[in-house]
Amino acid sequence: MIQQTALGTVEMSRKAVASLVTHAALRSYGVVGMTTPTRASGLAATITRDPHRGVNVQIDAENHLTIDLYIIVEHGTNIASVATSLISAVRYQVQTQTGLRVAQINVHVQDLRHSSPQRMF
Amino acid sequence: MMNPLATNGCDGQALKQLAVAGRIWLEQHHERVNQLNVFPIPDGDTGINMLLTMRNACAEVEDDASPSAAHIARKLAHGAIMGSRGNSGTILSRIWSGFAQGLGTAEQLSLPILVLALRHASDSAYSGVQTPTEGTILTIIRELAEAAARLDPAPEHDAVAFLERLVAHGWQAVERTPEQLPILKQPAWWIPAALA
Repeated sequence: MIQQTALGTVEMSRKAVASLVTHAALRSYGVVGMTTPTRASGLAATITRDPHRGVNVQIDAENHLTIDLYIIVEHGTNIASVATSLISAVRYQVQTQTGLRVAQINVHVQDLRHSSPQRMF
Repeated sequence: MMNPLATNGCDGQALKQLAVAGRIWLEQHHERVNQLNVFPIPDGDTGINMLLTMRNACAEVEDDASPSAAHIARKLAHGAIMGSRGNSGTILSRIWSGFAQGLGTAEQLSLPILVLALRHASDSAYSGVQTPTEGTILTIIRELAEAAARLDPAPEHDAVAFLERLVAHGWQAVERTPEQLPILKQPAWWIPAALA
């Protein structure tokens, strides 16, 4: 995606936006992992440790973004609330850091995880 | 009057009253908490989200006359989960959930069980996110649980004194948060407003 400025152009790859999205998503409460749309490819992505798995960024002719997120949610949380907070966090981070307009964010809850609480101290 | 936490512990109805007291505090102060909200999005809704979550938690036990602290804690946790709003509400629901887990089947909430329940509350809160951010409510519940484990309730068995010391530790933890989360140091005008 290309942004024209008075001094020149700024080109940003979808991969760069996806990195930003992943960073925001993994800090959003209730999201305990990202995964790919299907189980089989998810396994492959886990093995390759692809940092962009679970995020799909589309851009239209007017530089508007559509972002799809494939997430794993912690069992015992309110999934609707987790997803709503995630959408807000991703939209905020992408729009403030890139200046691009986010037209749509779709959250796909692919799995739930029942984590055993880790002892923090 | 002997404090219930000091002797055999407090029962389910006393725990309910403590939860309602927390809700009433939020009713009175949620707008101030909203103003403090700059992370992860400065959209000024943390206080109202926590209040709505606590309202739902308390509504769940409103007509429940059970004397069991464990039973009331489980219902508070269920109400908090079902009614959780936003990041802060979801974390609060996880804190209640861990707290209830820590009580196990205890009919009475005694100081030693409170210490254990706070530890479970902290662990549960941290397990709900892939990358925890320090300087947030997560840090506060952890430092409260750590302080509770260090404070020895045995000498006087005075629950009020114990809780007052614990709250003082909590405030100290809050004062350290700008060192852990630098955005808290920024003046309000610097922080980009939440986008519609």
